[in-house]
Amino acid sequence: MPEWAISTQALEKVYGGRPAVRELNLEVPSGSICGFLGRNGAGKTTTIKMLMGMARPTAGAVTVLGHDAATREGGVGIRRRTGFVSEDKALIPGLTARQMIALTRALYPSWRTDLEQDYVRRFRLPLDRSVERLSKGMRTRLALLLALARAPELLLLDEPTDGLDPEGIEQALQSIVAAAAEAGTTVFFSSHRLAEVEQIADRVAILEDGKLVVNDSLDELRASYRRVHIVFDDHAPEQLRALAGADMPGARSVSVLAKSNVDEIVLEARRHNARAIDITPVTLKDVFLESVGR
Amino acid sequence: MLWRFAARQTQLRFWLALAGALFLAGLVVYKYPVALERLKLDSAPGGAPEAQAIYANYLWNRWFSLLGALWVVYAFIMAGNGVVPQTSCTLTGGGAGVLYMLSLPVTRARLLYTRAAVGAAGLALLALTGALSACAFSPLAGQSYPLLTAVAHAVILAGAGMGVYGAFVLLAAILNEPLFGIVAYVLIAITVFTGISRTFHSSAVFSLFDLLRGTSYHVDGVFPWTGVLAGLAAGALFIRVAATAIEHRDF
Repeated sequence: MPEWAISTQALEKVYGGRPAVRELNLEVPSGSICGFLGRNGAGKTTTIKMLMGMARPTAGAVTVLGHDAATREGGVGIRRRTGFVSEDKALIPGLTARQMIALTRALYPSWRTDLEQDYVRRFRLPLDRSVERLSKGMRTRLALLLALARAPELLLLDEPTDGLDPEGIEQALQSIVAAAAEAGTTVFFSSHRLAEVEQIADRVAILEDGKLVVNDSLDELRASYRRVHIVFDDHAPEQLRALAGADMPGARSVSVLAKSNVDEIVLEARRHNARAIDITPVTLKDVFLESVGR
Repeated sequence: MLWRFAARQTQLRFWLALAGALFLAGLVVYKYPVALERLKLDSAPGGAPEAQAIYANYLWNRWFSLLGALWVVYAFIMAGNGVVPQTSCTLTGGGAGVLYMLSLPVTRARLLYTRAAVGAAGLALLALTGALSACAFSPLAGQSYPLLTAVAHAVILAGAGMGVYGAFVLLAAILNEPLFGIVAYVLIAITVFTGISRTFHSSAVFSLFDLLRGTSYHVDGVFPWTGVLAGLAAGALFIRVAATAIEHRDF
């Protein structure tokens, strides 16, 4: 298995003159679980489609499991070794859940019937119901079964818990983690639920307006970011507000997410006789909001 | 495996089209005595050969022409039914599940060829069953219709019609869904219109509709080999171009 399950260099995708993905340099180590975050329309789904060989890059290179995703043969090779759940969870109309499983099983020599039966039982799937008549939650469960039972080397999941109830979300996350732990499957999944990313991911990539703004391990992100809360007797000095990137003239307190300049901010605060300085760990939500400029 | 699922996905539409064709064929044959009554006002049939010819002409004018139009509409539906596969289309119902199909470990060309072949097989079956139903129902009107003529008509319709089907597949591959619908409707309208024009004015203008209803075969007794072979070749070419076009599309 290559060192990087996913590797892109200066990857770009333009739709009708509008860039959807820009200069994307993304590396996901084999065996990791990487959460892929970004606002709606940031380019996450487009990126995942390019990784699957379903959308052609406008520029740049994309290698997945050692295959060039921009070529026809490379795309087939990737899809043979990858489990995929699309954003819309749409399956093939006119087929029952059982027929969907049969179709998929026939195309994947690595299919594991024991996993299939286990997920059918755990997800309580109504096998003889047509996919159009399945609820969104059931469609998501079926899509996950189809992705997981093929025993893939890579899971590319576009919002895999969308439409699931809390129990379903927990089942889905446990299944994904089990695949990674037992078979060493690399997982790359997009999500808007930051809590679930924090729960299972060991890496996080954040996309903003088509550009990658964060690509790091979750531990390193937590270690490098701090929330600094400073209170003054009078209004906060202008120098400190500038240093902290805060813009609230006249405020008596400053609260800022600091990455590399925590010590500098603290020193400056002490120099201005800050009454209280509180440094706290951050959540992924803090990092995300900071990264997307909110 | 892919072809089985393409067939399963389209089977409801196929059975509906087949049932519709059989119903219409039965209705046309059933109405023959009424039509004959009207004909008798002008000319009563003489011997058995003349009666047979009148019946054959009636079937050609009423049933085989209708079958041609039905076949073109069904070809449109089959081409739009995820052959490509397409994005969502309320008219054809095809398209949902596009991403799933594209996520399978097969090339888009293979997907397209498989589904196009299943569609073509369905169309050939519809042409054959529709034509043979004329033979099957004829005893209901106290008539008979030659099996060989019906089979020849099915070959003409399916063979020449493959050009139309291939054109629809190509349109579905290169156009987005609303445009595909509009262009396809225009093509169907042109086909039918030229057929109507040809019926009322015996001009020498080429009529695809006349080719599909086997005018030269039924009227002049000349099997339209050129038209059939041209239809098959055009259909194969269009589908080949569609496979190339689909490789470069983003979904």
